[in-house]
Amino acid sequence: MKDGNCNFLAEGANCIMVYIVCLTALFFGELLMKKSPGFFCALILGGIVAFCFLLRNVVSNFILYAILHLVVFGLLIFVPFSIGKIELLAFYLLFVILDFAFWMKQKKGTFAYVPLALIFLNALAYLYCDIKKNPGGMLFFFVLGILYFLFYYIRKFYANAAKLSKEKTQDERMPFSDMLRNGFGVAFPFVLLSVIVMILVRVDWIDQYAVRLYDFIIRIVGKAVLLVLSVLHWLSGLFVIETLESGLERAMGDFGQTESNPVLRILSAVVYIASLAVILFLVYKGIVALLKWIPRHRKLSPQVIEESDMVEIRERIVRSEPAHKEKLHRIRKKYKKTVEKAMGKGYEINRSHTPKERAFDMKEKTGGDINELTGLYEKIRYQEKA
Amino acid sequence: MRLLIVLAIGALFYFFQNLFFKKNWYKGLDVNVAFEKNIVREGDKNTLIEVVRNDKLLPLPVILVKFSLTRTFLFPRENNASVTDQYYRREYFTCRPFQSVTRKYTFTASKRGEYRISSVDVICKDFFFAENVFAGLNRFFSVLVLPGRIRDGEVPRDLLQLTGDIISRIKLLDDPFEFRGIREYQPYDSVNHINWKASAKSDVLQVNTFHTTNKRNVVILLNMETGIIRKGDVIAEAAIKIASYLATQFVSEQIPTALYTNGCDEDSKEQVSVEAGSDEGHIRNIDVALAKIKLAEMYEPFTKVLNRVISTDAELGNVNNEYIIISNYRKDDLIGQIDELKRLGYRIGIIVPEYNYNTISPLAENGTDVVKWGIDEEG
Repeated sequence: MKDGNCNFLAEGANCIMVYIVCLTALFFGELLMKKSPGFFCALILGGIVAFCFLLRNVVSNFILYAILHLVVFGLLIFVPFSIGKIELLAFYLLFVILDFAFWMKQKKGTFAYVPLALIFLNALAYLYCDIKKNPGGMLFFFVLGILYFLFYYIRKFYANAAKLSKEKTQDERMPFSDMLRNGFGVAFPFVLLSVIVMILVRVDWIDQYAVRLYDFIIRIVGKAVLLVLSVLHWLSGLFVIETLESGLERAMGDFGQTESNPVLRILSAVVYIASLAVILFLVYKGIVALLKWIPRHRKLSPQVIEESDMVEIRERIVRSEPAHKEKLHRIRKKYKKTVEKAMGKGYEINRSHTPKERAFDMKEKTGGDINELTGLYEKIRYQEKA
Repeated sequence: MRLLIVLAIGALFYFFQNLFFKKNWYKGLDVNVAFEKNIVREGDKNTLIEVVRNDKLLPLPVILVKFSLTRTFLFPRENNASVTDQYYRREYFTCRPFQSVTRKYTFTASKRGEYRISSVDVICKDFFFAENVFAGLNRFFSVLVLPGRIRDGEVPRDLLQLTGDIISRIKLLDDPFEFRGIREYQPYDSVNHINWKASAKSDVLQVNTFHTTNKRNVVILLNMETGIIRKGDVIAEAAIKIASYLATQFVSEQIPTALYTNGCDEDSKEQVSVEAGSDEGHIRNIDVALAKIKLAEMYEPFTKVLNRVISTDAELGNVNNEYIIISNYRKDDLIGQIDELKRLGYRIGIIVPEYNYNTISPLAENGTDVVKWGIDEEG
């Protein structure tokens, strides 16, 4: 991907963010003024933002640029439509002013990058809808907020990639496309994960599952605690410690009344969170181990890039095959066992013997033929050392 | 409450990925910069090998490896480097999980010396290419560039005569205990050297040949001090090449050759010297010693070095040594001392490396023991 493409994608993501901010402002304003928000208005607003974006990227002549803006402004004034005309005109005027100011600083590009802090507008609108018991509005502003976050990270990625691509002037061999691919391969799942978590937090039915999980874990942990307490109780009975016994009885009784005891409720919440953390940690470790295992034992032929003065070799780091190790161990174990067996029958081992000498010696003294095994053993041993 | 959690997840996500990256980026990462050959000769090609190994699940999208090399290494393309006093290389890499990337660059070692890469900086960018993390590797990679070879055509006739005379003088006496081989009888061979058994077998007279006694050494005395200010380093480098050439000539004739100079080793800061020897590795020893000489503004006066060498040889009883002085410096103190030594019976040859347009006065080329080695201004 070229530098220009990264820049264009960053600008595009920024444009969508601008659109989201405008859309939020438009619909929130209309909600405040008790008007019904119009789909048509949102569409026109999107058109305006897209028009401004394209105009800045395509037109480099300032006069033409100003004339085209005036034409759109005139169309908005003179084309007869009633819904949201004033709002659209106000937005367009704002765009034009900001855009002209930006033009003075920078000839190419579109709007200045909008900050992440503008998300507060969505949050405000969401809260307003919550107070006014407007679930549709809540969902709408929630989705807009999520999209705002999503495009913020996309913009960040491509804007930094565009900056990085400028380094290519210093090193023309810089593998920029591969860098972008590798960066995106991790950044995108991260963004996706955060979006999924944000959505899940809002989903109501997740609560039910959380409660069920809570019940399940507490029941299991409670049973385990009771089991330990019972064992302790039995042990205390063995050693006849009256005070401990009475204390345990009291504790067991209290644990059965978790709902009424605030201390135990806090304790159970802590147990729940800790258990959940342990489960998540184990799941994470399991996934990582699986991901590590999959690519490591799959051999790939190395990729060789040759230039006039440089050779680049990209290869996968592959660990030794476990199957091979197993085979190696089996033969060595077998050899060791055979020699030990012979020793058990009275054969005296000479530490200074080589395996071949030992095989000869063993045949002479015990009659056992281990020549074939010795051959395999030597081969394996030699291979390992090599 | 939920809204706050959502906002927190959105905002903290970036923070967490950054934290995760900073904590894990260096695990399993190995950056290595080395040379294919640790010793090369001036003008020869060598290979710079850069290896980046990412032995972990986390990919590293951008790895910048920075290090500096001597500018005397000539790379065909220098787009990814800035050349000032040093050759600053910037190499961008990208690594997938469990991937190793190896780059090999061929370069020409254009100047004698010992060169090092003492530190390698590794800079990595996070997944959003936003923040840099840095690690400095204090690894030590070095390459030794031996003095360049002098081709036979470049050697002045007078010098060939000088070395030829020395070789024939030293190799005059055969050592009867050092058997060399058998060859066909020649009229000038002594009759008592005839190998009668071999002659009877081949029906042709065969004689035994012997190595020479070689009780006399050749001592090469290299003066790094030049009598000129401008482009003195060119003269000094030429003098080193001459010393290397002479050592090669004598050692290949199995003549024990020693080297003494007032030039200092770059590492030990001590004067470079190689004791007399003529074994197979001796040429390499002398070349290595010569390669390590550091050019400097000031050297110990050569007269002191000369005095020290002569007096040591006298103490050891090596009075029959052949001395060859390579020196551009030829002021009265040195010339006076050489004349004095010659009067005492020492055999001393002088080679003066000098620009072609200059004379070697007050010395004069005589075709026997004073030789001028002409140098172009470019060296």
